[in-house]
Amino acid sequence: MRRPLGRRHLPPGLPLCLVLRVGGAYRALPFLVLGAVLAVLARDGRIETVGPLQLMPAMPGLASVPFVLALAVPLGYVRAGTSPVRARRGRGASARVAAHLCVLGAGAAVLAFGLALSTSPPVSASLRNLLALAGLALMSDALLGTSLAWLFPLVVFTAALYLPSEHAWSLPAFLFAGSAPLVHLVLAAAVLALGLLLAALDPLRREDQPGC
Amino acid sequence: MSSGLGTTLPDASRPSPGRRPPTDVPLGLRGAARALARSRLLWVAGIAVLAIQSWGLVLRGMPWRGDLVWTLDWVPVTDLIVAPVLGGLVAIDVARTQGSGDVLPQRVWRSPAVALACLYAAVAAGAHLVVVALAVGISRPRVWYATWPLVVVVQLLALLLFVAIGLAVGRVLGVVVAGVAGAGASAAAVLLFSTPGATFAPLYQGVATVPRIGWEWSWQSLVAQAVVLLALILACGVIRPAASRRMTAVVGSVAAVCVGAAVAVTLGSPAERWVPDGAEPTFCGGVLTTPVCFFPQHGRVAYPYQEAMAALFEAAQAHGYDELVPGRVEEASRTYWPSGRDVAPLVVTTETLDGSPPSLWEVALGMVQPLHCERLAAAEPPGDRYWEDVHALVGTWVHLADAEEAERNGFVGPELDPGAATALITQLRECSHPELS
Repeated sequence: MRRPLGRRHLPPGLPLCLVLRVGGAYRALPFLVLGAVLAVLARDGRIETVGPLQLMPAMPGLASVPFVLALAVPLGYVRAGTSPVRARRGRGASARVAAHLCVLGAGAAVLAFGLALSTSPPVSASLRNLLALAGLALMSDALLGTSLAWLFPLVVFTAALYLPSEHAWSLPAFLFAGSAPLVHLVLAAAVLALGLLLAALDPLRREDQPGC
Repeated sequence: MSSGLGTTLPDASRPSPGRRPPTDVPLGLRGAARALARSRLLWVAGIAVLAIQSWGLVLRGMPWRGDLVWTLDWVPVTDLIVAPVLGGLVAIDVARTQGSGDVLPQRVWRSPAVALACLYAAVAAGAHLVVVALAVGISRPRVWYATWPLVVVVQLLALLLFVAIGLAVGRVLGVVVAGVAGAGASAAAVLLFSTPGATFAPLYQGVATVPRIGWEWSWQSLVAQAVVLLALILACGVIRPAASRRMTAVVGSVAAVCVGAAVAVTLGSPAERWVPDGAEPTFCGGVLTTPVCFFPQHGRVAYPYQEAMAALFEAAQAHGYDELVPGRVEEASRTYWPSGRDVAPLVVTTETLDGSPPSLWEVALGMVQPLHCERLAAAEPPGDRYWEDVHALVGTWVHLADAEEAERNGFVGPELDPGAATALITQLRECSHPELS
């Protein structure tokens, strides 16, 4: 007798669309598409004002696109709802990290597409923001839940608009500068690594529970 | 129901976290109390509004202290953070109430989503009022304008609009996507409708880093803003997945009428948020024998200016430059400029209001520059000779009081003698300088 089609028992040979749906790619897709549209629109633009606030100096438009792409990273993975025993296994954690990295890779591809269109591509700034904001989104996801995955990146990004940017190590300098020194890239990668670590540890123990 | 949970496969044996039994709706006072006790997000929303707006208050040295207009206009400065946080949290919680299908045919005002949104609105408004009270308590303004309650009402309506946006988003999307979509929609509203320009901006609340002295709020503009915000809140409030086609048509028409009214009022309203208050500086004191008057709002920075003036006046009189000392000094505002041959203007800068003392150079320059002359308001600036003369005169005066300060500002001499200085200051005060006539 065939097993019922549930998330615990995925039979082999599923249609690709179902795999994508269960895996969460359908949820990440709108963000990747929006990111691609924004990347085309902002390829050579510079952001000088955000609402009533002024950015000094102006930020390359492409460096803001990772904000949308980063949100896709935690959203692009739907909890499998496995048993507690399976959820605690290392293989499950590594699969989660791999899933997040896949969406991050797709986001990086979208970003690369935008950078290829730009006449003066802000490569390091865009990469820095993608890594740091994806890390923050993963942390928010792991600590607060997927529905609140946007909270950390949003609060950090908008709070930086209000802070003075004179110092090279200030938050606005880190997020808005047109090019990133190597040390900033390393810091952004560390933020991402921390986010992935939290995703693997699953402190809310959501893998034990059904739903997302 | 379309939902973020729709990405999971249907499995009736498991209760979805998005579905609560119908009794779990915050209707009535008891329901509200239950929701307050249970909903963590509601508490997070209240604390977030309180914390973010309080943080906004302490930014940049709190230069708004003393000035009621600037104080109240400063409180919503962090809307760019508050709006998405509030909109996102409301959207998540509303989306959670949308699981039970039996709520759909209920009347709009009896739906659990509206009840929940009202709770959020009350919590956010309460937190905002606490911050306003805090700001006014710190500011201790000496001048009050009758329109101030209207300003607070508009601020509350803006918060309500963010809640209403969250409500609309939460009603049509699932829990996971609703959060990010509600945050995005609220942030987009702030980004699109808070920048003043040629037209009226419904969410513009006076954010500024320069003193507001000389202005008071225009009540027409505030009333128009309140009407527009109310219409938009209503439009967002009625949007809901309707049970029937007829209901969809009704909801759509009401929302369209509201948005149409908002656009019409926006286009027909005055763009100016402020009007001149017609006040003159009345907070007067004396420096040596010269009366110096400030606006009462800036009384807290009078002392550092008086100190700088005392140093300049003493130095001028000690070295025979008596003519440099004006007969009277009055603070200028955005709408009041002291006039009269022997009256020198004084501009209180944001830096001084931040807490750093004014420099001698800045004070001397303010008293020497004849900004009342029509020639300086012309499109084309006066020639080099004017700037050289002003620089020489200010440099000479500051050099008498503090030689190092003059050098720091690029004055290397030669100093003007008392006769030349007297002739030049007379020319400037009478606008008879060759470059000004």
